[in-house]
Amino acid sequence: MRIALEPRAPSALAGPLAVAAGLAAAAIAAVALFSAAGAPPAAVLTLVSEPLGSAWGLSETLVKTVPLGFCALAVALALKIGLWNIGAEGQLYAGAAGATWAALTLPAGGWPVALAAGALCGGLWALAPGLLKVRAGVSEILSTLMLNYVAIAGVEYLVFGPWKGADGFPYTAVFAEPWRLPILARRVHLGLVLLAGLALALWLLERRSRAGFEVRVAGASPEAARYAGMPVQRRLVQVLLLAGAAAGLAGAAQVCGVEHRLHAGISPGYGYTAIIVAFLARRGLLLSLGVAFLMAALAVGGDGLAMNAPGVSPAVVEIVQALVLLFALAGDALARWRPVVLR
Amino acid sequence: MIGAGLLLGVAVSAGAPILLAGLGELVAERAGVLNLGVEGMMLVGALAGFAGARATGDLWAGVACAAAAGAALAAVHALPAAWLKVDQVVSGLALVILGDGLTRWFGRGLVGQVAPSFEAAPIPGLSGLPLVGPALFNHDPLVYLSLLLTAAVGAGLAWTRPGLSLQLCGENPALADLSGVSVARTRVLATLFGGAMAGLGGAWLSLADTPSWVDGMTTGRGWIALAMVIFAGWSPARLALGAWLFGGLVALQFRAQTFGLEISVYLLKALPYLLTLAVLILASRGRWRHRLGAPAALGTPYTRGER
Repeated sequence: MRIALEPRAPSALAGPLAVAAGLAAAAIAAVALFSAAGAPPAAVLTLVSEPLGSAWGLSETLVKTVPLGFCALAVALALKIGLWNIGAEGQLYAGAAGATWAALTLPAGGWPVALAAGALCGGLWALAPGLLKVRAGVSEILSTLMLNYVAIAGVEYLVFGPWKGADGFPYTAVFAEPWRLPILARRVHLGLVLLAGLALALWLLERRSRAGFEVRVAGASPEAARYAGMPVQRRLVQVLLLAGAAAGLAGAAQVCGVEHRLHAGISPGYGYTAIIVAFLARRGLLLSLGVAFLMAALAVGGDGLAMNAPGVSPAVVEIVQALVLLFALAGDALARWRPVVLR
Repeated sequence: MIGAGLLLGVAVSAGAPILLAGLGELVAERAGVLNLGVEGMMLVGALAGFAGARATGDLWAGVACAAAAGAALAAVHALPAAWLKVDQVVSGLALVILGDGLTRWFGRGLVGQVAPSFEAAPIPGLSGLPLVGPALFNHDPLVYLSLLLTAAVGAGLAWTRPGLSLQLCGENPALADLSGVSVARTRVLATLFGGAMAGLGGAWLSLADTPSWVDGMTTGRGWIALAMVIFAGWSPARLALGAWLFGGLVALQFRAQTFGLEISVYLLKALPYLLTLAVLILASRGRWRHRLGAPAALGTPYTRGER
């Protein structure tokens, strides 16, 4: 007996159905986990009502959507040309450090300067893996990931060392008012608008420019792009630079908009969650923002568990995320292939 | 010379988890399966090993639990990768997140608890030898196991029939299929072996290194193991050298002061990752390059009749 796969007729419904299957399966798993932890299965609804059921929850969800969305753009953008940017987390920290440097040392300026410094540092942090990829053929999966640990160690060095605040705790001094992003409502800051603007700009760049076209061709088939004389290597480096800048903005917006100072725990892993987001959004730039909002909601819901379902560990959020990913992946494969048992 | 022997000994034992996990990944990759989930599998191994040893009071029962848990998580990757042609990069990353989430979930009650732990068991007669004694023969049993398994994996891949079939699945699955080898079954078994080995690597952390359970206690060692497989050019012997080099660095983080070294703790923290990068660059350059070779069908799904 042997299992073989037969291709199915392509269908536009396949993708969305696969994601829906992933969500449904993960919801069932969440109910099972809640029951196992002794919480009533209905407590699962906390994961929805907490982030979306009140103005406070919605505000928190939007606050988390900003860094997650910027990072998701960083991952989705790289995926367009077929690169896995696992390093958004490190690029975020590099961006946060750059913005903090601007806010704490420049004599004049304001949050736009800080954001620019953040984007620059994030971009440079991703430039290294890009150059290593085209010059030495080093796998960007490993190089971007290794640099995450380096960036976090670097930020730890800064906040435990030269940038330590006057009170001796491992975080920097608080930013002066001009270096903070304007607040829109509650804790939601201007970063949300900038995120939407960046997504739209990148989307237009991808759809309407020659460079965007070349990136899409190179992502679909590098050989075809090379054969057509497109500068694939240069585009690879440029895409990673741009992706790093987007992730750098995540960190800059987080320190200028929410934290107002730098410390080593500014990201609970936004750069990693962004990989799930970009994959579920099928590397769509605009869709990434929508999925980032949903994942942010899940994270806020996880924070709310301590109050509403004390027996349930917030780790449930991570498990649910992984299951959504795995089931969507399997659903995606099953939508393209029909398994048949041969005897 | 006693100092040098001790230093080597520390490197060999701190490198053991990277070596164990790396050997498993090496076997999976030689069969053609790329599993980026090493970090997640090490985590479930570390937790299952600790919980198992605590529940039974028996260290080797804990080790068995660790291997089983690692293999179970690997199955989540192996089955879809072998039979559903899913994207192996995404599926492997999902394992990391799943392993981290599951261990945080199930490990809550075990943080701060104690379990039996492995002690150094010097090998009589050999541990007294100069240099080699402290370097190789004054360790806990799991480190000896990592040495034995390196030899076993190397010999098994090169000289046994199943080993050669496994390599064929990674190099030319169509030819393997033609010669009567079940590519899917071989790849699944190789990936499960990889998971079990990553589990053992995790168990060393929670049962020998720092006998305890801490969330996320593998701290990137799974990723380093993945990089080491590339550095080693998919050769078990060179993998051991790489793992010990990095084991030495990880150990140095905690012992720099004892050795009287004045190095920033943050630089030491970043050093293994920077060196991994350096190694990846070296591994892809000129003289090294033609001696290294990824399995031709690494990460590529196989179905009969397709090219």
